[in-house]
Amino acid sequence: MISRRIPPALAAVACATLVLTACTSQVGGQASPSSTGGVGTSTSATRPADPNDPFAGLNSCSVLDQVLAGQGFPKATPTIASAKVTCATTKPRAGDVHPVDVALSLQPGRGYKENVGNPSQASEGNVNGRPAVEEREPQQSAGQCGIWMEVKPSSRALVLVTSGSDTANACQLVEGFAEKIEPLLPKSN
Amino acid sequence: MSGSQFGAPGSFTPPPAAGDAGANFLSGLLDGPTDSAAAQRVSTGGSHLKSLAENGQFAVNEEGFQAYIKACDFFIDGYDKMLREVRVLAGAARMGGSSYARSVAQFNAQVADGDPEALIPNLQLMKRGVEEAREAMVIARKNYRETEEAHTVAFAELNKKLQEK
Repeated sequence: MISRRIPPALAAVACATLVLTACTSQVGGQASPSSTGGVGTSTSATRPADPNDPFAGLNSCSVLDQVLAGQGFPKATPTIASAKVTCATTKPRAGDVHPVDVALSLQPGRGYKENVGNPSQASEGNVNGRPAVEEREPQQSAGQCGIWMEVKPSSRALVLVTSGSDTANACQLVEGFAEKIEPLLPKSN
Repeated sequence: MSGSQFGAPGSFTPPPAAGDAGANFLSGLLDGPTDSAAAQRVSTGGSHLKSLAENGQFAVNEEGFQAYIKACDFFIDGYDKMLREVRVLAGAARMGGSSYARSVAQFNAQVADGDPEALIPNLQLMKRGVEEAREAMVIARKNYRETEEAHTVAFAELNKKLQEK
């Protein structure tokens, strides 16, 4: 058991280094497909009209840019994971104030309760009347909070904030962002 | 209705079909041991550095402080982005449908995460270590300033005595 443990630990460190490198050398534009990207998504980048995709014509980068305008965030770019449906942007650190990372993922074909992380700390509720679930520390790491919002038919939008180690602050921030993103999502009634 | 309202933590009831798959996946990620050598070294190192600084055993000037802080922040800030990617990845995995589809989604997420049993706990351990190293630097800079001030005061006293002579 112990001998099995060492190589994965090294792999973890190597992986951490790789991801950090990738994050600091981000360039704008469409992320190219890679072995780490696009898990579980089959939607094309342009999202052509599809009766089962309520997000057709909607781009998560544009939505984030619109909602975060004037708040010190750079232009949103596709994430490494699930690049076709997810964008993120990070307001840089200001001295001792932690950076604020915001991600938006528009995911057709899956219900908003399906992948809630750390369910014992999650809570049901709504954003502007739209059914939603708030997940606190979905990976049991402080400083992260997400909101899954329902988008009909059987689709969902995830707003995720990761910032420092203050989970309450992350939840407060993600609620504020979700309230501004919600009106831009397809109507859910 | 405007604004957002949520119940108390724990009020969420997962749907019966897909809930346990997500929970199983996450418990696999989170239940691993947190004692891998590399992560442990970073954690212990940061903690040791902090206690040294607290005991006044080292000081750092402004230039050195800025360089160390930059390195610490590079890791701490990078950790946020990495945690975001892992969450997006885990959240995007299609857990529903056939058991085959579920296995494939889970496998993909695990491969991209590295070791599903140890990655996140070890990264958290390293993050805490780097945070402590950062805190150590803040104390060490204070130590340096206080020492410098003590030197300045002593020097001024000496000057005064010399002038009085």
